[in-house]
Amino acid sequence: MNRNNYVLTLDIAHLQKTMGNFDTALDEYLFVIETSPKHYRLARDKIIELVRDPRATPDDLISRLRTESDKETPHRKVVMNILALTYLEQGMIESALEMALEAEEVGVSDGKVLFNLADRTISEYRHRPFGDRTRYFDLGLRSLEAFLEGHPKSQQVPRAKLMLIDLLVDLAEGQVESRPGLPLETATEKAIEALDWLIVTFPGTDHAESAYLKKGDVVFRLKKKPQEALEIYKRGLSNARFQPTAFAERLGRLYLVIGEYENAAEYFGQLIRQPAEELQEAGVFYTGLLLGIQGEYETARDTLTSLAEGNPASQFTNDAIHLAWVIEEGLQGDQKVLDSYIDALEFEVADDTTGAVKELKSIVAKPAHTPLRSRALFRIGELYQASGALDEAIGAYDAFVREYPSDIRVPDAHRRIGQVYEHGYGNMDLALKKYEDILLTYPHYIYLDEVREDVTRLRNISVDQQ
Amino acid sequence: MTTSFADKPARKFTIVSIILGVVVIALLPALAQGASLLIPMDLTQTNHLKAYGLAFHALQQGHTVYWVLNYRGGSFIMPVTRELVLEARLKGVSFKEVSGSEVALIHAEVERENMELVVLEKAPRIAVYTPPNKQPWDDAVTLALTYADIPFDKVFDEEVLAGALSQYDWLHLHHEDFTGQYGKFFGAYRYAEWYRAQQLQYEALAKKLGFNKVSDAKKAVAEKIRVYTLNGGFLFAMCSACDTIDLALAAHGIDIVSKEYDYDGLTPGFQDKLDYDRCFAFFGFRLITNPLVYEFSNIDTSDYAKARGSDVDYFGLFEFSAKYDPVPTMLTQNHVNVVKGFLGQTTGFKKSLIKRSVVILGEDPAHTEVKYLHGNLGKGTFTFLGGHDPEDYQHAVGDPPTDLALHVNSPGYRLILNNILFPAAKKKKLKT
Repeated sequence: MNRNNYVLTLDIAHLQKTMGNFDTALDEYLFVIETSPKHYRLARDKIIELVRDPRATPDDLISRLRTESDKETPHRKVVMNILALTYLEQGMIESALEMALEAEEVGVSDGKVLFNLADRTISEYRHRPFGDRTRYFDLGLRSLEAFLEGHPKSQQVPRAKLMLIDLLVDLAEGQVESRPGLPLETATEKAIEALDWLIVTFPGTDHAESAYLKKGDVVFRLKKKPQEALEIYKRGLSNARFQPTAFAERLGRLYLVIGEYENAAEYFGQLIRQPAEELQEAGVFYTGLLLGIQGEYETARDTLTSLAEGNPASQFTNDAIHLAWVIEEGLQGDQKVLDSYIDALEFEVADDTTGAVKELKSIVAKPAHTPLRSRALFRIGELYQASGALDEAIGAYDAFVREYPSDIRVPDAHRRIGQVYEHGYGNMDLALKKYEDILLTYPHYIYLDEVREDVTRLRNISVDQQ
Repeated sequence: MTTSFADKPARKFTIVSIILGVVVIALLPALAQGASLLIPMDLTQTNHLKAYGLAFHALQQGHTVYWVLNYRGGSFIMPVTRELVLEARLKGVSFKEVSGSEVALIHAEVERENMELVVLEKAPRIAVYTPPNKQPWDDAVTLALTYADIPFDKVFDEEVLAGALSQYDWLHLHHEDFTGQYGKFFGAYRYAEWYRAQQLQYEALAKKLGFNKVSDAKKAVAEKIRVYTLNGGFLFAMCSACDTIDLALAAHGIDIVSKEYDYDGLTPGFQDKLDYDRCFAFFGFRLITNPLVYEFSNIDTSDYAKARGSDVDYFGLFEFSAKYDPVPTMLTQNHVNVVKGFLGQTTGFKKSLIKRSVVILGEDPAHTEVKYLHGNLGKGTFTFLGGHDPEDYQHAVGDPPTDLALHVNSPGYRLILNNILFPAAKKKKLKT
């Protein structure tokens, strides 16, 4: 077919579509794919538009495409990919995966649908309540593994590897129910293996830096080896160009966790002398934190306050202000309470939620008017929520609301309870009621716009389900 | 704000036509009992557009809503319920809980001043006339309805000709061309894909409906809309729908469309054969049939507006007697007296071509251009607003839609939403 003919055929197909003759339009597009394979992308995109046309009957078109995909024709590859994409757009993700895998088997896939499928199921999985994640996790994992096996030279491989690593780490951390055939230790080792591959294959790139950071995180959090993690971060930092602040943060934390305070102080001093502002700010913040851990509270408070005042837009400012206020409030009362709070903070830095909660509970055991008690109670709720202890989180927030009804953070506590219902239990009715109560009761809540979004989101889910 | 009354016939017409329930004395005990929600519509309101949506929502829930005309910009009073308070908070509409005694004070002020209390009793069923395919321009009314969460149905030629309009209380027309000249985009866009596709579609649809020409099909639709209004329907039109519907009605039985559109010529002497008695609002107009001219007739005042420029393009809203002319009062409720002008394919209407029986609601006082008008036809009413989008001075083909979240206090959009609530007002029969 010469160039003019395929253009004419596309035009005819378009006119047929305009007149509502979708079957005939599909025939014309398939004809273009068969006879002018170099221009298959044009025809493919037009067929996708055809299925999406609001006037069309998608079921009929899909059924037609399904029939075409079973035939040994020149357009089979394109048709299978279109079908997989159509299933994906219509939310039929299992069908999309089966079609994409079938296309892989017969060697007619370009991998794009598999990658898109993985991307979509993984972002979907992250928004689901715990009990509802498994389906999307499995689909994401299968898609990624098939994509990586079938398309090792694709440009999306680094991204796919990082997505796979995130899934495996989530599994190892218990963010999703355990999967048969994939024990947690195996998931951790597979994640580290993938990270090492990225580091070796893309040295000096942003991918490699992200891989170093993730590897250090995995070794620290999952394998509980802070010293080894420290060495990994140091190796990554040596050539870091894209994410030096991320490395600085992690190194700062690990020095504190390991307890090498002299090395920590020296490292933070080096950061402060760096030309990059973000590194200077990291140095000041962690210096303040170190001073707090060492019990030099007033100096710590002043250091953190100077950071917030001098760099209000810094990524460390919010945490600096929070910690400065903790110290200020703690200094109004018994220093032992402040010591306990800072100890809890040390446990948090070490990723030890149990230790942190224990320290905070020792503060909560004191009388209601004790400085830092309300913060401790709220923080217990936050820690439980982050670790998935949902009942305990709600208990802590409820206690906070009951014991400190006029505290400025009460609407926050209610909102967090709503989030536990929504993302933890998947109980949309209770979550919606909680958000609505916030709208009714706290009209001046600073995050009222976000609560409106929460209500609208859940109401839309409810309408979709009907 | 200037005081202006339409000519005697028009005023009589206003009094004689729909007189809305003024049940103040009967309502006072009901209003005074317990607390109510006051939704102020003056400059203190945080979201005027969503406030209309809240009023509509209250009607849908079966509540009675009171529209206090000219009180704080045309405020609403409705019962206090958890659900309505929640909706108000969700929509970001500011409100105040008022006690029975405060309501009584409001009533006393209404009695004293040029104000009136109108009962809104039922949510109107709304239809928007729009083609099924996406147009490369946006409809200000559907934007307003969507933003205010007011539900509506879409109808087009098939539904109209099948008699579906009788199911609706309110019909909206926007950037439509009832003359069958595809919006007179021939000059600039005749080779554009959307234009070609639209032409094919309309021709196919006309054939399907039993007409040989698109212009004949559109005339039939215009006639149906006219009958709908005669039988008590509320019609609201903006932009080119305002004049093209009258052109189509006046051209009953003659061909006013050049051969570039329908492949045959014009009826000789068509100008003298126009029947202005069939029109809603206009008479004595002259058609522009040249397909290369982006204009339908001499009704439109676009050139004058463009010559003024956006910085000095405004129109004033007339003040009416709320007690004696509640309908035009309702339609002109606003928190400002002067509204920014905006262009459209039909920007405004030449005053000399407007029928005497029509009530002028808003005009540019310095020029003979009317922007906003209202009239009665049979048992129904019509309101025309010139211009395309109140918050986009010159909306061109392909421009992105206006984001109403950035114009939550738009006086221009309030005029549109006034029309949506107006059919909900309680009618009181005339004493004979």
